[in-house]
Amino acid sequence: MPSLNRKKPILAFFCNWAPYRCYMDLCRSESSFRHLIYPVKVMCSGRVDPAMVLFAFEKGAEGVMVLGCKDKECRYGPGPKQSTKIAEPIKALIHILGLESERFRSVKYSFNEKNRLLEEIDSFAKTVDKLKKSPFVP
Amino acid sequence: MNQNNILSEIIEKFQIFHCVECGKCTGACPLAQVDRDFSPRLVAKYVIEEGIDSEYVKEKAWTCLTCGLCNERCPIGISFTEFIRAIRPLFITEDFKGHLSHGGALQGLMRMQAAPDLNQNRIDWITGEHKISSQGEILYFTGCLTYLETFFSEMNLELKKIASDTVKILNSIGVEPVVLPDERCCGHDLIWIGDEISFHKLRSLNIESFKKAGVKTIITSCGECSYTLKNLYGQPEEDFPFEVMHISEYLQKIGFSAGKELSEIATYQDPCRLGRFMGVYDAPRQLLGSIMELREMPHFRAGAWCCGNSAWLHCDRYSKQMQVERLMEAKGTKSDLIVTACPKCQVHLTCAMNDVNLMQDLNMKIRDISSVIAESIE
Ligand code: SF4
Ligand code: SF4
Repeated sequence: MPSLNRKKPILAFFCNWAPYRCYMDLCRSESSFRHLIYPVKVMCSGRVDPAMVLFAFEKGAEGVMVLGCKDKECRYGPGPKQSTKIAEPIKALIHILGLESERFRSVKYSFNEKNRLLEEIDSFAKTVDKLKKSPFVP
Repeated sequence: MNQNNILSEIIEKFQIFHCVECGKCTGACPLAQVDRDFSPRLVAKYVIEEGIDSEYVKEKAWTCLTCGLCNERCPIGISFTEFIRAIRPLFITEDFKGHLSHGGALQGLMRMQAAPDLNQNRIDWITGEHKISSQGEILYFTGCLTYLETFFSEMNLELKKIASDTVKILNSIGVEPVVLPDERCCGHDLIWIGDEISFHKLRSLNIESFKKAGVKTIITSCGECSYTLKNLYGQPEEDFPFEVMHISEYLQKIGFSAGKELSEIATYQDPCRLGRFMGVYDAPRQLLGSIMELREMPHFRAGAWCCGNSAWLHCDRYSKQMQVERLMEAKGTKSDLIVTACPKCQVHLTCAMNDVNLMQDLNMKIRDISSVIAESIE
């Protein structure tokens, strides 16, 4: 587990397959990004439900990412579609709670896209850093 | 004091020792009819015999719908539902046997509203046609409508419209109610799942804003909000009494006469909190009866069947079965629509209508009483 001395913690759910593979590849070649996120590995991005994302925000996450495989590359079938389906309601719900909807991001990867992953994490961390602190304290 | 002593005190307080084991509660319980393992009589028996370690009580304390049908039948007058509410906090242990529907997301949304510095966007349904105030004696408490409509967006329910219609009705009689942009959840579901800490946080935040706005009367469009604000907010601050009424009670009290007649035939689903818990049966019926034909289902008023769930606990095949049976009753009245006074009845019954196998047989229009009345005065 990378040490996380960030003031604005970000939680990232990684699907075990393509996104986690990218993450592992990245960990071997880069270290600049590792303090930016708390990685949580799940077997499929379709497993991440709104309750898990909201719980992360409740416990003080300043941003939450769900990183899944591309639609046609899912090992199980409907996973990425499921994770696309919950993205808009989650953004709408955190908006009602008064959080900016940019605090949630759902992105899809193929197994060889580690550089794209790095860019995404960087840009997400920059976005989150610009926002004021979340009112939810664990 | 250890857990067992606290439990003994609760047993004492609710007079569970007086149970004569007649089994009327189990006979009346809609859950016991579909789940043969569940029996309120046995909960009463085991809680006395085995106390805090009873496996049966540990599990069944969470499956009870808290619908209150058993209370109506108990010859001793035991308030079984209030007893369940009192013991639930004792069973939030590592061995928690409850099952929170939707992964606990809804309870999460409610707990999060207990954060002090919120800046919610919960009243986006207010447009130029609504007249509201920031200070005044009458407050409209909107409840969780905005959250629920968004969470269940797949069901296409018009829940925010309930809020909008309630304000329109009030405007039509010259009332410009206070609507708080940062109102918090009333906490009903949290206290019913035993989370008293979050409940009290929500309660203090709400009472503080009621005070600031100078509120004397609170109008709700939800049976649960009514029950919670009236009975559980307790009004300990002697200098700050407030009255709580469901919109139907308020309209009845001021002698409201609804507008044009509607051609549809309706059947009314009594929400448990508004009906059995608060005794409000007549006001909604009178209002609806004045604008449309009203037909009763076989189980109605104090005997009305539950919509299948409460406090987002244990949505399972038994809930589905109860919902299906309830919808069959509604269909049997040959009405055009079901009218209810609780947004959660709408969510639960609509969910059952979406059953792929039974869709044709169960599909029925369902609306809130506020929306029906608003249509009649348009
Ligand atoms: S409250 Fe309802 S579900 Fe619970 S025991 Fe009584 S009748 Fe049964
Ligand atoms: S109805 Fe009352 S007295 Fe009879 S078994 Fe149930 S709790 Fe006991």
